[in-house]
Parts: sequence; C-alpha cells; structure tokens
Amino acid sequence: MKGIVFREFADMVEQTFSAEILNRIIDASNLATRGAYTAVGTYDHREIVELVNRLSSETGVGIPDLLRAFGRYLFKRFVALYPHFFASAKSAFDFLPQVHNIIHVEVKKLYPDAELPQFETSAPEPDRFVMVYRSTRPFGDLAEGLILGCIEHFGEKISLAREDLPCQNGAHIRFTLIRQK
Amino acid sequence: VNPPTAESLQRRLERETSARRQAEALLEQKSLELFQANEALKGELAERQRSEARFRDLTELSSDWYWEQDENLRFTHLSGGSLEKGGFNPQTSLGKTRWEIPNIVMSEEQWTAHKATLVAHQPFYDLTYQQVADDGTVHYVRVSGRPILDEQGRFMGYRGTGKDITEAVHAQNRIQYLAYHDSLTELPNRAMFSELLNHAISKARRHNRRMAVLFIDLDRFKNINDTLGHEAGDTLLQEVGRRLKHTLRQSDTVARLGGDEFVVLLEEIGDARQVEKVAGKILAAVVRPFHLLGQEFRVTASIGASIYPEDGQDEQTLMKSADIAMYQAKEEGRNAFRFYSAKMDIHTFERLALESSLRRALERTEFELHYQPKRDLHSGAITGVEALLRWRHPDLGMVAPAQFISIAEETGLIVPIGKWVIKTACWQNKHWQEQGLPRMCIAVNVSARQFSEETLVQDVVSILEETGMDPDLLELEITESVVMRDPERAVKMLKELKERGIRLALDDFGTGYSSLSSLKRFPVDTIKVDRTFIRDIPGDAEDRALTQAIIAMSKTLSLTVVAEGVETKEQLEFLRQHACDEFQGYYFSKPLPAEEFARLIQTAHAEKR
Repeated sequence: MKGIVFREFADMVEQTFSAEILNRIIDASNLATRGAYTAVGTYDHREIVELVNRLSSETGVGIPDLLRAFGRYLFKRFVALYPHFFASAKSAFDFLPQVHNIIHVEVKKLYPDAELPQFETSAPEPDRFVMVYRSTRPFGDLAEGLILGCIEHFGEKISLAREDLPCQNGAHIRFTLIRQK
Repeated sequence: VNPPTAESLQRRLERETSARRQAEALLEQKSLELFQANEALKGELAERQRSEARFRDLTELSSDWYWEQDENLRFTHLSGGSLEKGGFNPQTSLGKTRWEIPNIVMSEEQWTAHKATLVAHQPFYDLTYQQVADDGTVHYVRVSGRPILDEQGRFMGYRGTGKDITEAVHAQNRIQYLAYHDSLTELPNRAMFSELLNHAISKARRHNRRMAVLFIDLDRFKNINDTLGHEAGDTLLQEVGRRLKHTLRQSDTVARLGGDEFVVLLEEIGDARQVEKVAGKILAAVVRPFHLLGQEFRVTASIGASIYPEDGQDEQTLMKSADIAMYQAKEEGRNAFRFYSAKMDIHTFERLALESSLRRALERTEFELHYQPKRDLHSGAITGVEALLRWRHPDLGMVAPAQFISIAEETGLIVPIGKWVIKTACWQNKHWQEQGLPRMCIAVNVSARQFSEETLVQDVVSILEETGMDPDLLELEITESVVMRDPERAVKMLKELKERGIRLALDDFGTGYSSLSSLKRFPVDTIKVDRTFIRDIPGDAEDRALTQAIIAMSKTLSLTVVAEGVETKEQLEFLRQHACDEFQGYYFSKPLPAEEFARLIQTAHAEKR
C-alpha cells in the first residue's frame, strides 16, 4: 500500500483524536517501519490494519466506522492534493468511472508495482450507478468511505447501498448509487 | 483537542526524520534505476540507429524497394533507390491504395484475387503487374507483402517489398520467342508447330473437322546455296517465308522446320480441292522471280499434303504422310503438289532409308571397287579392266549399283562418289604397275550427273596428276543415252577429254537411239555393245542382226568393239565369228576384289610366258 495512505491516516488520527493517541497506537503496534512513512514509499498493508485495530481499541469506535470515516477524510485529501483529477468531473457518476479508467492508469505509470483494487462501473439507468469493487485486501469499508466522500464532494443527493458478494479473501462488494430526485 | 505535548512533537520529528531518510534512500535507488534505464535506452537507441542504417542501405542498394500501408491499405511509406531508377515517384503514391494508383495495369481477375487476399489479411507473394512510369515507359513490377499485426494481433496494415522485373520479363519473353521461332524467318519453328498441330488435332477431333498438313520443300535449294553462297540462300529462305505468309489466311499456320523445309497447317478445310487450291497458290508464289545479288532467280517447290483424319490422326503420322507425299511430288518432276496415298509408303520408305545411309557411306568408306577383266576375243589375252562400284552396307550387305545409283544421281551424291571411283581406280592401276603387273587400261563409268558437271575435265586431270597415272591408261565410259541428251555439249566435252589423252568408250551402245551415222561425230575409242543384245544371241535373230551391224559399223570407224555380259560359249563363238574385238562377262570372270584380280593377272601373265 502506498505511503500516502499511511501518512494521511496518521494525520487524521492526530487531527481527529490527538498526537498522543497516534503515539500510543504506534507504540502498541508491532511495525517494521515504527510508524515512519514517506508518501512515495510502499508499505505492508497489514500495518494499517493493525493501526486501525489499535485505534479502535483505544477509542472504542468500531473498525468499520473508523475505516469509513478515514475513507471520507482521504477523499477530501485527494481533492486537495490532486485537484487536476477532479477538474473535469461534474458529478459522482462522472467521476467514479475515472478512478479505474484514468487515475489508476496514472498511478501505474509512477508505481508500476502498485497493487490496485479493481472497479467495474456501469450505469444501467440514468440515475442508477453500480460499482463492483474487488480487492485482495479487506478494505471494503475504506472503499465505502471513499465513495461517500465522493458523493459529499459533489454535493449530490445520492443514496448508497452496499451488497457484499461471496469471496475467498479480501473484498468483493457491489455498491449501488441512486440519485434522488 | 489539546495541543500536542513536547514529547509527541519529539516523536513526530523522529518519525519525519526517519521518513525523510527513507525517501532519500528511495530517491537514490530510483535515480540509479533511472540511470540504468537510461543507459539501456541509449543502447537500444544506438542499436535502432544501426538497424535503420542497415535498412536504409539495404533499400537504397537493393533492387527491391520497401513499402508500408495502413489499415485502410493506403501507402504510408515507400523507400528504395530502385523506385526512382525505375521512374516511379513515391510521392504520387503515398496516401493512395494500390488500386487508386492510376497507371497500374492488372486484369479484373487479378484485382479480385488480390483484394480477397487483402481482406483475409493474408500474406501475398510475387504479385506481378505492369506499371507505367512517370516517363511513360511500361515496367513490370513484382510485389510481395505480409500483414502488420500489433501485440494484440490486431491488423495494422501491410508491409512488403517491390521489384522492377522488366528486364527479366523481356529476357524471358525473348527466350520464349526464340524457343518457338525460327530466327532466320521469324516463323514458328518445329517445336511451336508441333504444339500448334497437336492443339489443332484435338480441336479437329472434338468438332469432327478436317484439316491439312502441307510439307513444302524447295527444289534444288542446295544448288542455290552452293553457287550463290549461304547468305543469298538465307535471303531466299526469308523471302520464301514472307511469300508463304502472304499467300495464306491469317488463321493458317506456316512454320519453318529447318533447311529449306516449310510446313503449313490448314485448319477447318472443306474438301481436298481447297487444299489443292492453296497448294497451287503456294507454288505460284514461290515460282515468282527472286532478286538475289543483282540477278533474277527462280526456284520451285514440291508440296505434299496429308489430311486429318484420313491420312493420320496424330502428329507423327500426319507429318510423315505429308513428307512422303512431298517426296512423291519431287520424284514426279518437282514444282508439283501431291496428296498422300498409302501406296507411296513402301516405296518411299526404302528409298528414304537408302538415301540417308548413302549420304554417310562415303565418310564411312563403305564403298569399294571390284574389277572385271576384258579379254581379247581371239588371243584370249587380258586387254584391260573395268572398275565397278560396290557398296558394302553395314546392315544390308552388298547393295547392287542398280539399287542406289539412281538415288545417288537424284541427290547429287553421285558427283563425290564418282570422283572417288575415278581416283580409286587410277590409284589402284598405278599401284598394280608398281607391283609389276603389265600396263592395262582401266575403264570407269561416268554417270549422267557427273557428265553434266562443268568441272569434270578438270577433276579428271587433277586426279591423274595426283595419282601419277598415264592418261591413256584411263578409259571413261559414258552411256550412249547420256551423250544423246545434249550431243553438242557431249562432243565438246569428249573432245576436251580426248585432247588430254584420255580414252573414251560409249557404254550400253544400242539403247540410245543414236543414228549410227552420228557416231562418227564422237571422238570415242571404244563401243560397248549393251548386254541386252548379247543376252539373247545367238537365239534371237533381231539381236543377232543388230549386234552384227554394230560391230561392222564400228569397224568401219576403226573403233574397238567390246561385248558386255558374255556368259556362254555360244555367245562367245558368235562374237568371234563376227570379228568382235573384246568381251567381258561371267563366262571368263566376274568382277573381283583388287587382290583377287591381281592374282588372276599374275597367273595369266605367268602362263603366257
């Protein structure tokens, strides 16, 4: 997993909770990096799983809620860090297909070894958008948070339904977005 | 939210410092990777430049050019030195498909087949077509190409090579032409005629039609070649070829088989009269005067015709039949036309076989001379010898002169053969004298054809000089009929021979209808009474009377009389009674080989002593 996610997670913990809590969850975790991440590095995704677990224990907030919250935070940060990816899209339905078709293509150019999740998008009706997420890692909640962040970013009235599909490991989820009239 | 404690800040600083080191290490590693990637790229670039240079040199120096087309089959690239040399401007072709280039000539079928290949994205090899270059010259072009596919196997266009094969095509055409045409007359040659004839035969068979093959041979062409030279002969053949062509319909075929032999194929003939009419036209066309070396000449032709299917149903039989018919036409006096008839076969075949082996007989020394002694009727002494030609044929054995002399006469072979006979006889006589045999006169027959040669006198004189034999020991025997053919010339000729001391005899006397009185005009020494008179004496009164008269008349002219073909004692007795001088024949001796003859003389000589 790219270092940017770890850095943003650490920032979120500091901002939402405190610097002390960040120190504590780092100390409590068994991390090869000892919590030092650079945005351009690549790190074991299990480190963030462990950090989220520790944060849940520390704060009493459930892991799914923490990941969703982190997703929404992360989306905002992406908008701030990479505004050019968001310039052309007018709505979530416009933007979401670009995650796979444009953004992941660009990420691959910089990091050929990056292991990215897959998104299949379709719009069976004008106000209905389906996105099937598939990853070898258990980050369905993080993905849901990111989608929610996206909906919030475009300020649309869109409901999100989540349907977990059977899978051996990782995540396989169908997200259905319905635009409200 | 409480402000971070000093400890938290310290911890964050430590993490950031560690992260920076990681980033720096990562940066260094990435820089190294970039450097290595850059080096690899430079190497690849250099290799690519070398490869391009190789390709450029290849296309510039090669006689092939290189082309590329996009997925719509429009030319996107054309390079190669041979393009410009061939007069093609690549610029006018770029952006066009091959069929949009206006000056490419290909048949509708060729285009259809080619486009089908392209639609199927298949490679193609050696597509050949004509292309008109910018300067208007027509070129033959041969192209090959294969599809360009990307990594996913998608069709991206075509690329391939092209080549100007004009020279090769022209050379090929010329070779083809030469293989099927006679270079002298530009007419089809034997090979092509054979193909055309076979084709015509199958067509005639399918449609149940008749056709004719005409064999045409110029009469006495050899004489023209010999007297005027080969160049004049060639000119004559060319003119004959032209005349034949003009005489015939466009649909008829005329070919030269070689030498002075031409052949004509008339397809779709109605009846035999039509063939006869064409043959008549050909004879008339050939007989018109030719102008060679500033002189006017006339030649004639002999034509033989065979008809499909009556006279043959395959190439060989038709050709053979026409050939036989042509020989028949020649035999019957030349400047003539004959249809083939089955009767001709047997006679002509033997003749043809004999003629061809006769031509080789001299070189192979198959000829020999046999010698028949002449005797004095009263003393019995050997007075002379007649040299007689024999042909020892490798397959047929001894061939009688009657069987081959006429062929030798017709073909003119008698001239060299005759010369050989005179020379051999003189040499042999001289040789016998050197062996100690008594001086004898040797008689040699001169044929009609030989006698008509202007060079006869000179030839005989040369032979005498060469062999060193005395002229008065040579007696030339000329038949009465030959002399009577042109008595004026004969007298002149005989006188010339006589002046050189050569003895002369009139052979086969009594058959030539010469008036006895005209005999005194000829400066001959001897009269030889034809064997046909001797054969029936003393039984036949008429022959008896004639023989008696000949002997008597000869006596008054002081000529020696020799009786030929004496086989019985009665004949001998009759001749002796009537004062005939000498005789020859089986009664005394048949013709003998040289050694045996020498022994006979030696024995006779010894007895006499």
